[in-house]
Amino acid sequence: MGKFVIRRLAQAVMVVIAATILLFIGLFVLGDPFASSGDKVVPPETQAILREKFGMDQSLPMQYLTYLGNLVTGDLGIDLNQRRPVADMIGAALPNTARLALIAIIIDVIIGVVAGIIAAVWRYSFWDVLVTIITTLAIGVPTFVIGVWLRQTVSGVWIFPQVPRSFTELAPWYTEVLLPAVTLAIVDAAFIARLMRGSMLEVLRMDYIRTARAKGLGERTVIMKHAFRNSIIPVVTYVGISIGILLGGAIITETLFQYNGVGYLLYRSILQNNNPVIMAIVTFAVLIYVLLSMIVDILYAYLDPRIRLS
Amino acid sequence: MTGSADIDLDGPPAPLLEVRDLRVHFKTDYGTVKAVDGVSWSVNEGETLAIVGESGSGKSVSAMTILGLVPSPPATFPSGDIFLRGRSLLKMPERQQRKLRGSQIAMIFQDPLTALNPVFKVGDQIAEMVRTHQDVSKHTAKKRALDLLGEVGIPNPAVRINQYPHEFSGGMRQRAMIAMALANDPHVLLADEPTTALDVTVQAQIMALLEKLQEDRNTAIVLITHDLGVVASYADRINVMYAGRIVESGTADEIFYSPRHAYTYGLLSSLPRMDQSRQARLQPIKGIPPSLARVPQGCPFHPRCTFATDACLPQVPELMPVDGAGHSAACVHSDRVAIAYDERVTQ
Repeated sequence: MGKFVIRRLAQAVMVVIAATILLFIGLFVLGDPFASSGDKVVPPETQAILREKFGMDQSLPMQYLTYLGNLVTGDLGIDLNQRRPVADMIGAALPNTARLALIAIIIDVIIGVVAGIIAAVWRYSFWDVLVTIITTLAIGVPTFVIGVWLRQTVSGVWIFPQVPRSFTELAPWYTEVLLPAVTLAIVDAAFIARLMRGSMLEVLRMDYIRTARAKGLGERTVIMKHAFRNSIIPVVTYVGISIGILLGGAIITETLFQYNGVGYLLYRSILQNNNPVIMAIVTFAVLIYVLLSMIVDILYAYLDPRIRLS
Repeated sequence: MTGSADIDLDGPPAPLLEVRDLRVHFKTDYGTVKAVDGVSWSVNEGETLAIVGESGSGKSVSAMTILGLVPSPPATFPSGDIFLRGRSLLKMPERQQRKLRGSQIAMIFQDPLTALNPVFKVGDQIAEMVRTHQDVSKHTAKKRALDLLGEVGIPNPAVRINQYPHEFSGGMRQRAMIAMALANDPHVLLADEPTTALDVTVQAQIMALLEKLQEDRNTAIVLITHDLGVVASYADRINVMYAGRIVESGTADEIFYSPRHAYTYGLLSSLPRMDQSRQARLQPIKGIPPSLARVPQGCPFHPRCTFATDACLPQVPELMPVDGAGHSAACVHSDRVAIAYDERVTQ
């Protein structure tokens, strides 16, 4: 197990390095954040001073090494726009995104797993057909369509805050988080329901399910104990990846609902060519993703004892 | 369950397990599959009944029907019934039937690798069997699982009890399955191809273990197999099944030394024999078993049969007594088969 963890850690470090290099090149290609653009006029001398101040007069490899060095010491740099520490900006946005991710995941796991089990156990019943139709619709319609529709119809109604709204107006976090969470959960829940249904159907055909029935166990024990533990494994993988994506910021959904999370921050930073913020958020997303896929692997080993040995 | 309810006071005592004219049909898109089509047999305490046939002859479906694990629909039971000590299993409500499953009737399966749940410890799976039918503490159930593992000859049971199925070898897994099946001292043990997935040396060990446990507990064993060789020395009675019917029934000696059905003859001729000084050439049965949705007219075996004549065509032969008291065969040409077999073995 120790060897396994070390190998996975080495892989993780390489993934982070590769991802940040790609990102660096990408941002370089996108152009100079200090150059004049549109009605933003920056005198050439000012541009040169700014470049020097942010270390952008150096060669790209040098810049990258400096960035990596700072990253290791926890220094994420200063944002180009308002000269705030990037770490503080992310620190302010992250709890919102974490809350959003957590609530979305809780909603979609509960709905997805329950719907999947019902559809599998009562296969071809009315409920199975209903689940199939709803999940097909939910997966087929893009998130932003669902998001826009919810924003137009539900926001401003009852406890849901009006979007778009003025930033001086404060709403309690739990009302703010609901609509984006539901938007994110709809597609994921549909996906999990399908995964769960397929996996459960496969497991229900297994010999050990017949053994469980031959033991005289009730159908509920057969399904919720013997079949569940085996069929939940693919769902665990998916949920792990899903949390990773959501923690890195749900850009579209957060932006649609003007939700002050990492995704919305990234969206605004991209519009402003705010490179240090983009770098920091994407690196953070990669880290989270890599970390979560490691946790998923370890969880696997817990759920399926056969993996523990190899 | 009270003791008195189990005893039928009129006439002779009911057999432990009796299958009477059982039919199990499945409605499919390709027609009605007659998996079991009018089968009768019975078994008593301490007896071993072997049901022999090729895959798709309906032998496993009979066993699953006894356990009540054949889902209906799609299955229908047009006729027949199953009696455990005279009580009908088919007419019993599911809840009651479930109580018998694993306590009165237990089953072991062909592939012990897939028959054990991969994510639970072997000991827990056995303890679960105990706790499903007996009101005992977790600790007592675990203790019982430990004793059972020892009883079925698993070395170092105290360690094995906490291992997962994938840490067991094939033979050990089947032993664990047997331990689980015997956890509640069932009256009947259904063994569906218990040795098919195992190495030959392990096969003999498993059969010897079943025989020993049967002697200790007086369990009735219904041994379902496609392998006549396996049943030779263990079965008291043998039912040979073909296309959902019993085509020959008799003691092991009767079946092995004087088969009276052309199909049994075919099975024996395709089996190497150690008990004959000069080996007759092995003769495989040509062709494949019929689809149970489209069983041939008349004797279902006739298209593959070397004895077949027009006499086989008009109707399905009934199971008729031949020589010995309990020996019967459903073959128009049972006399010719007997003569041919004598010639073959004395060649």
